[in-house]
Amino acid sequence: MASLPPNASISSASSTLYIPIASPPTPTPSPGPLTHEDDHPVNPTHFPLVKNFQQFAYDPVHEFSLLSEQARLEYLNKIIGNCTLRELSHISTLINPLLKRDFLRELPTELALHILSYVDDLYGLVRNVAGVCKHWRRLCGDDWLWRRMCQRWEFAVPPHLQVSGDAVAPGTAKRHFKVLYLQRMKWLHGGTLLRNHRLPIAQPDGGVVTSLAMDEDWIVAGLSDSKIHILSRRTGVLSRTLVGCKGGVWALWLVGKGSRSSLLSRKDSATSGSAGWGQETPLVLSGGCDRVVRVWDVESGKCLHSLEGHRATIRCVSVLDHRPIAVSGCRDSTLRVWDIKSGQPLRVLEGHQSSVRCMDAHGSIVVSGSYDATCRVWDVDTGLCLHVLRGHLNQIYCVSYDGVRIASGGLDTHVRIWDPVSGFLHRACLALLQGHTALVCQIQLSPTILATGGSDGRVMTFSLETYTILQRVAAHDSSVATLQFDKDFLVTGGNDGRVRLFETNSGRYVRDLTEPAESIWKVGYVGNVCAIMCKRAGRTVMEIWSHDPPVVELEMAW
Amino acid sequence: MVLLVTSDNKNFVVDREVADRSVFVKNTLEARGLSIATPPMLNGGCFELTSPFLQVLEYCQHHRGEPLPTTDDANADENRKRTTDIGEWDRKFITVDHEMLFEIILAANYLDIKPLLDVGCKTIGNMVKGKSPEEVRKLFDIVNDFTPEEEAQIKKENEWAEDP
Repeated sequence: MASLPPNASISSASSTLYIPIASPPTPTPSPGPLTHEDDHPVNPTHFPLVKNFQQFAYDPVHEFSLLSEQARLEYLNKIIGNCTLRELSHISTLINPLLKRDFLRELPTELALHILSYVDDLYGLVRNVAGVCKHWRRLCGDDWLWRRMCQRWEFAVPPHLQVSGDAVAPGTAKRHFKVLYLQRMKWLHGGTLLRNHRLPIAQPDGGVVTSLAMDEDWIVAGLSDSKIHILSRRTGVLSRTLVGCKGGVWALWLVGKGSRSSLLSRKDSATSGSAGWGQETPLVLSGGCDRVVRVWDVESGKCLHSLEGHRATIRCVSVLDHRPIAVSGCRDSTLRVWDIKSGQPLRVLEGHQSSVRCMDAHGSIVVSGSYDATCRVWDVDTGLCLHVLRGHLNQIYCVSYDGVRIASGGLDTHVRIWDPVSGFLHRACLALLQGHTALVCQIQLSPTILATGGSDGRVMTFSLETYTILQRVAAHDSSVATLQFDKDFLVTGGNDGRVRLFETNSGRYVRDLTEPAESIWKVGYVGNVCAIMCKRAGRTVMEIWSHDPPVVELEMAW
Repeated sequence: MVLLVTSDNKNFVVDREVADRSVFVKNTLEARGLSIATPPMLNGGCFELTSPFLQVLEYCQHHRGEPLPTTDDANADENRKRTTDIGEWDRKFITVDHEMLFEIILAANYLDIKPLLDVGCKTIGNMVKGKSPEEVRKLFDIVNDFTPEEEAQIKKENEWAEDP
């Protein structure tokens, strides 16, 4: 430390005085007369002892208050030096509580909250700290603290909760946390089975659920026996069954009512759903063996349009976000663009040399994956093929496009990341990701993570910053049939009959979401409702699980 | 070298690098282009004034030259990793009685020495952690002002946060 002026020594004297007061008395000999006259105070004149100090001619407290800082300390030194052990012990018990500080009450509120933000275990904060006293309990309800808790648990905080203000009722952040926390616990420890639909068997192998589409209102399942079942997402109740397809349904898309979008802020390829263009009722698009793209009104169950033109089985359909434009991909190696408002064909996208197996759309761009081992990037509005992405060695089974990157996987066990802009250059392939040992059939992109599932039963996640493997999970004993993930969880279903929940970041296995089945066909979730399409005892089963906490828990007083 | 004067008129001559640990002092010096800062230290009692300041100076001396956290960094850091660990030296440094801890926190807050403020707050946080309400009350000499009915009510309300 730098040289200190002489008067600094005063302070060190202060601090040395400070410590003996704070520490409990010890049996070591005390200084001064105590050593000579153990239990009797000094009274050299042998006057009778004064029983009450108020009989003094002066007021010692007043005298004390007149002393200078230094003199007060010397005075106290003298007094203490003249005390018996018993008296020192008495002083100690008097002083100890005085030296304790209720930091949370005495420090400014923002510092008290800063302290509480370090009590990072929820149980400690809610059960212990809040139980200390009323003041601490009030502090524990502070919105800032709960926003911090949300951050720690990586819970999304809606913008209106991000700043404190009059607009937000006190306790809102805590309530927000509680809801998300209880939901998380439900996912981790077990949901509630809303409905369990067991469908009658029409014909052997006829009831395979081939396709699943979900949004915040509806769950739609397409079956190989040509039926389309529509269930309420909130209750799991079977609302209606669409009948009219002349063969197995192989592709579905759900268009939300109006242009409303809450859970689905944009087109969500993972759940085959998109926001509508302002139309009055939600719509379902179906495609399959009968080569017809059908547009259904979910509320009336009527088929609004039957769009004909394809010459083979339709394998995939997609609807552009906020527009009545649909695209279908077919085994006849073409894609077709439709106006689903008027029911008119718009154009044919030709170029693939073999079956179109998969597609994904973003904006007015569609990316298709084909058995000819290429992906093609199309401008839906002009019908132009912008790029042909070459590199895969064999049939492509899955493709995902989020407007930033294209990811594709296929029979060559490779996963490739493509740049949609420079697709015509040889550097179009940004990365070749390896690690699967069999067909890659499931793929989903997020802004930072790519997840893939393969026939080898493996689920892999890759970093989109470094293009390296993050997690390699032996998820299933046989092919991964279905996969969906968000920032928290990754849900997979396999031909081994299991539906498994993993933590996205760590790859840690959490639990099976349902009892083992004979086979899992499709699994999807929107919000906290998870739909599981599987085969049990030879029958088609649709299980709808909720991971919302019971209302009673949420409405409990705060 | 910088001359720092506390509100009880004690003078401290310290290296600029040491004084700069305090964002308050640093900004004051930079704004005025002076080498003298007179932070009006905490008002109140007598010897508490200089005494915590000596402690604070000791801390600044030990941590001199380390990069100062910027405002942006502070947020990012907290989001990324908000550890309650305290370094070995800091832990020994902050092992003081309540009164001194209290004064150091106030001083660190006033002088804007974020790392020291964090060390102080973490220390209290760690004192609270893992303790039952009764243990906490004893530690900080707090009176339980809940009625038994209120205590039962609180317990019920907070059942959702069961230890997993």
